[in-house]
Order: sequence, then C-alpha cells, then structure tokens
Amino acid sequence: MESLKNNQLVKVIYDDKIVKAFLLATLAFAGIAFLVGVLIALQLAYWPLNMNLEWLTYGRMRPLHTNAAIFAFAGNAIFAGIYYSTQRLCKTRLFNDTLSWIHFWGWQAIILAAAISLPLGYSQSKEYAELEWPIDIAIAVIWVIFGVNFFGTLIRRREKHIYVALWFYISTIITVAMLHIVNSIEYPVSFMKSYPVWAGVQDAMIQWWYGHNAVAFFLTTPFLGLMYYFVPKAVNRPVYSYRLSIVHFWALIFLYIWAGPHHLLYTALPDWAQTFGMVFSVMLWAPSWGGMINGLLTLRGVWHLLRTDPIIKFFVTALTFYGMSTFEGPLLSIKSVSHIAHYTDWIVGHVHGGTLGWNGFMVFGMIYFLIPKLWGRQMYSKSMMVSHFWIGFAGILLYYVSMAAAGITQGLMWRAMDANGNLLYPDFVETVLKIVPLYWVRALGGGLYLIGFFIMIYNVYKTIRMAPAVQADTEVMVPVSALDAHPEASTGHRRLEGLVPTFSVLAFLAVFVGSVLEIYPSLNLKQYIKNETPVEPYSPLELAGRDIYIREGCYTCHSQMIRQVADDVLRFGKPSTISESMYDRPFQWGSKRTGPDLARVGKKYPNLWHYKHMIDPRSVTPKSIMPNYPWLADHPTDFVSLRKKVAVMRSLGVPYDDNTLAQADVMAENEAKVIAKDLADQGITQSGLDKKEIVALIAYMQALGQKEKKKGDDDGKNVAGSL
Amino acid sequence: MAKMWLAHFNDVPLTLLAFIIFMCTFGFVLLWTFRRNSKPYYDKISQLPLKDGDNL
Repeated sequence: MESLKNNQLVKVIYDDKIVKAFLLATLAFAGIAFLVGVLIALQLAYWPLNMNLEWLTYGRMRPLHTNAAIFAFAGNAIFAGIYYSTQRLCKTRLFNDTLSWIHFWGWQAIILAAAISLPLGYSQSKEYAELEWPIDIAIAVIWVIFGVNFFGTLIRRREKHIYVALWFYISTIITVAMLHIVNSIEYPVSFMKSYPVWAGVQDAMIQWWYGHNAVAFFLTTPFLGLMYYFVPKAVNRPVYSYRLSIVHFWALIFLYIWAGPHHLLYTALPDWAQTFGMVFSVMLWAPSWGGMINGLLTLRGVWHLLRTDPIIKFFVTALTFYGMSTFEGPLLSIKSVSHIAHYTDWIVGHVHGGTLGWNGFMVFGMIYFLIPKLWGRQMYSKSMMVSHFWIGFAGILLYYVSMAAAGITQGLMWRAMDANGNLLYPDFVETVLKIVPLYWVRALGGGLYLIGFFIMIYNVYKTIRMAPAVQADTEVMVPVSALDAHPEASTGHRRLEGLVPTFSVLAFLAVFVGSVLEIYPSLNLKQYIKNETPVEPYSPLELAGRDIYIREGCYTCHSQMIRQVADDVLRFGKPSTISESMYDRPFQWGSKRTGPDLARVGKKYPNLWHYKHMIDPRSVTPKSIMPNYPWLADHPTDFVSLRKKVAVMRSLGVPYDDNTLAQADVMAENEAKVIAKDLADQGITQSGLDKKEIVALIAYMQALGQKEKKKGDDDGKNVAGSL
Repeated sequence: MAKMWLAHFNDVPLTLLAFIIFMCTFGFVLLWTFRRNSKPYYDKISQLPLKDGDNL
C-alpha cells in the first residue's frame, strides 16, 4: 500500500485487481455450472443423453453441477464482493496481497480438482460435500488464508464501526470453517478414497447440519452482507433500518444453525430432533422476512429506479426471491408439508428459486454495478442488461413452476390410496412418467436462464474490450485513523460493534452452542437406545459394491430411508431403523427419489434382474428413465484394496473379525464366484464375470435391508397397519 | 419397534435450554438495539457504505 500522510489524510490504493480476478472467475464458472445444470435437466427428461459414458452420467454430473454452482460461481462472487466492500468499509487496502492471490489461485485449483475428480467418480456421496479428503484439506487451508486476510484487513481498518455487512462476512467465515471441518473428518483409505468417522444417523445429522448451513452460511449470510452494502450503494440511500439489520443478524445466525434436522423429517432420526428442526425453521420466518423488508424498503422514495435501472431490477427481484424462498423453506419444514414435498422435485424447485433468483440475481446485479467501476466504462448495452433480466426471470419462473407442479403431483401420487387402503399408483415408474413433461419445461427454464447469462457475457466482453487498456486501482484519501470518529460508540452493543475479536467470539458462540446441543445427543446414542437387534457389517464384496454405489452417485436419485409414513411403508416395506445404517460410512439416506427407495431392495429381485437392470434398465422396467451402466460389466472389481478398507472400517468401530481382515479379498472373490455362477446358470455367458464390478454391486444391492436380524414379520403391510 | 426407540428419545430439557438461550439472546439484542437515543448514532452508521472511500 502506498500511503502518504497529508494533513491527517492518507492515500489508500484499494486492491481492485483481485476483485477483478474473482469477478472474471465468477463469470467463467457460472457458465460451466449453468451448462452442466441444463445438461442434467435434459438427461432427466431424455435418458439417452447420458450417452452410456460414465463420466457424463447424471449421478456424476449432478454433484459437479451443485459444486460448480455453490463453490465456483457463488464462491468466487462472494470473494469478489467481500474483497471490494471490505476495503471500502474499512477504508484500507486488503491485509496482504500475497494472501489474496494465494486465496484466488488456491480456490481455482480446488475448483479444477473438483471438476476433474467428480466426473471420474471420486466422491464421498455426501451432498455438497462430495469432494475427497485431499481436496477437503485444501479447502480448509485456503479458507483459513481467506479468513486471515479478511480479519487482518479488519484489524487494520480506519473506521471504528464494523458495518453490518462485515458482521455477516465474519459469521460466514467462522461458521463455514466449523461446518466444513467437522463434516469432513474422515479416515483416508488411499489417495482419493476415505470413509467418514461418522456413521449412520450421526453422519446424517452432521451432514444435514452441514448441508443446511452451507445454504445458510454460504448462500445466505454472505449474500445478505453483499445486499447490505450494494443495495444502498446502488440506490444511493442508507439501509431502511440499521437497527433492524442488527436484530436480523443475531436472530438469523442463532436460528439457522438449529434447522438442519428438517431435512430428515419422518426418518429414523429421533423424533425430538425432527420437531426441534421444524420449530426453529418456522421461527426463521421472522428474521428472514425482516431482512428482506429491510432491503426492499431501502428503496423508499426511489422506487422509480426499479423501472429505469436494470441493476435495481436484479436487486429487487433477488430480494423478492429471498423472501419467497425463506417463506417456502419453513413451510416445507412443517412435517405434514414435508410428507408431500420430501424426496420430490418441489424441493429442487425451492432450492433453485433461492439459487437462481436470490443468489444468481444478486450476483448479476453486483457484477453490473462493479464492472463500470472497476474497468472505468459504462456497460456496453443497457438494453442487453434489461433483456438478460427478463429472459433470466422467465427462466426462473418456468423452472420453479414446473418443479413445484412436478413435486406436488408426484408427492400426491405416492400417497394416494383407494378406499381399501391400497396404493393407487403402486408402480413407482408410473409416478415418474407423469412428470417427465415437466422435466422438459424445467430444461427450457434452465435454458432461458443460460441464454440470459450468455447475453451478459457478451455485454461484459464488449464493455471490457472498450474500456481503457490500463486501469489504475482506486485511490482515495481517507483519515489516518477514524477509530475515534464515533466517541459515542463506547458502551454496550455499540462498543461491541467495534471490537472484532469479541464480536467474532460471540458470533462463533451463537452458532457453536446451537451446533453442540443439536449434534451431541446423536453422538451418544448408546445412552438413549439399547441395541437389541444385532446388525451384521457388510461382507467384503458388499463393501466393494457399496463403494461403487457411492462412486456412481446413486444417492442423487435413490433414497435408502423408508419414512415412518403409511405410503412409504406400503410401497417399500417397514420403516428404516437407526441400527440398519449404523455401519454406513457414509450414510446413503438420500434426499431425492427420481427412482424408488432402495433400503429394502435386497432379495426382492433375483441377481439376474439386477444384472439386466444395470446394463439396460428398460429391459426389466420398460419406461425407466435411469441411465445404462454398461461399464460395470467391463471394469474389474478392486479386490486388492479390500483388506485396507476392512482395516479402516474396523478401526472406526465396525466389528470385523480377524479372519475377515486377513482374508477380505479372498472372501470377496469367493462370494463373487457364487453370484457369477448364479448369473451363468441363468444364461449370462460373459467370461470372467466374477471379477467385474457389476457382481460386487449386485452383492451390495442384495444386502440392503438384510443386515438386521429381528423377530417379527417382514411384511410392510402388516407394519403399516400397526403405525 | 419404531415407537420403542422413539420413546427413548425425549430430550425436553435440551430443547427447552435451546429456546431459553435463544430467547435471552434475542431479548438482549432487541433491548440494546432499540435503546432510547440510539437512533441518531445508527443513522450515522448506516451512511457508511455511502461514504466508504469512493465518495470521500
């Protein structure tokens, strides 16, 4: 930083280059995220687009889409916005240029690693946390570097007060670090394979504590911080109520952290925890709408800008979608509503209302605001900005309406019963085919959003191309120190607002206390429940098959959790129990049913059915939309690593005996020969079939729901009657 | 079965504690934020984005 004292003023040169770099990265990765999103939308509407290629199959592409959208698109946008606004709110240059660039290139390297590893099948199959352990470590390191750079800037600030936007950034940095580290505690098996230390219901609880708060603290709090900075800037008016923003902040971060269990309603998660998540989710209505109203009313007196300024169109629409999403979220958390919506496309529509509308439009508004300031030239075309807005807006509406309609339709079909209590639509695929036309509408909506984005890219390209060849970083003269600029800020919360360490610790406590109270009981299940139903661990071959199931991302379409609701029980069998998944690392309860639940699919069909189903699903289910998995019959099973995998599992508490540990590969090979012989007896003549992955996967599928030894009958209908 | 293990999970004190902690925090923040005579101070602070260096 170049600084010259001049009559109590100092010249500060803001680091705009790093902001530009993150902005351009945002645009680049937005294109990839949106393109892959449209691809997987089309794959769901027309299965042949999976192209029989393992790297392009839906199960591997969907994690790529979510990771690209959240961490690459939204992540880079957050960093750009935070670095731009933090320097200006603190009236100082970023703490350390080197750290800034390590942050930038480190984050891009992480994204690149994700873009390569996910299509190759290196996945933990935990939503939004799919990346394997070396990348998890890299994320933690780069995030800490970001934190050091941010807090260093706060400490060097020339403004006493920490503006509310900075509070939201602080809570983001602290909480994301906590969430990521706890959810990523895993035991490496090899360079790109690990098992989480958490298992079954613990893993489910921690994963959704992470998953929900990834939405809260990666897609909400940083964007609220950006909103509190960029909306007042764009309309040149202060936020409607600063005091409301304080209440908004504390209420939001305190409440959000508790809401994760609403993703697990009617599951084997303890009932009290479900109710807990539901109640705190409903309470979130108040702070969320307080924030939305605060943002919208910032336009008091200048509402005409909504008509004339495209940036304001984006911001106001983003805030409106924030309000609608945060109304719908608590609604979906109510158990009776969740019964219809969970596992359906209604949830997908809800999520995309938030991401496309709230996050996407906030970012577009911010980019349109920043490009002229950073490149020193007005946007090339205002009419293109307006076109982008309307085309993108139409795309979101088509997306949301089609998915809400699809979800509600399918949810109602699943639970529809006749007068005798029998399912009206017992064939699962029938409920899928009903909504496939809506998948086309969704793809059209996504396509429109992508077209709008391409218009933006062209507009930005033309703007930057016509900008001056060399742009200097912004120079400003600021007081040497404004730390005493607000002498009245010396007591109570006002004083706290100027104390970075104390404020940060309190914000951490707000999320930490909630996290401990929420998660701790699930880590001490033995205190609550006596395991009277012994569960066998997976055999070595089943374990190998499970890892194939994880690699292929089967959780993106299949759940393994039969809810304690009558229609689930009638359709899939008795409700899943905690003990059934007690050795599952990671848990595979899933969150979406494009295909049926698999928790009790074991022994339901012969081996031959599974073989045919994996090679060509339509050979056994004529109208299935599932991709083909022909490579499973070609790829050899990895028997060699099984001893290591069993050893890791045993060290994590799975009761494998010494013999299994020593003979894991031999046992697996012998088990595979039995299945291969059964297939051969039924006409599958492929040579060396016992060494192929498809046999391991069949072994795993046949084990699902078969590991718990219980008294009583196994007839789901009888159990349903007892509920 | 399901009802049996559900019966073991009844952490009423835990949920109560969560509510008490939240309500106390919320009440404290509300009181501090809306104290008398604090409006002029917050009005001044809310101007920070508009006087953030670019506009100095």
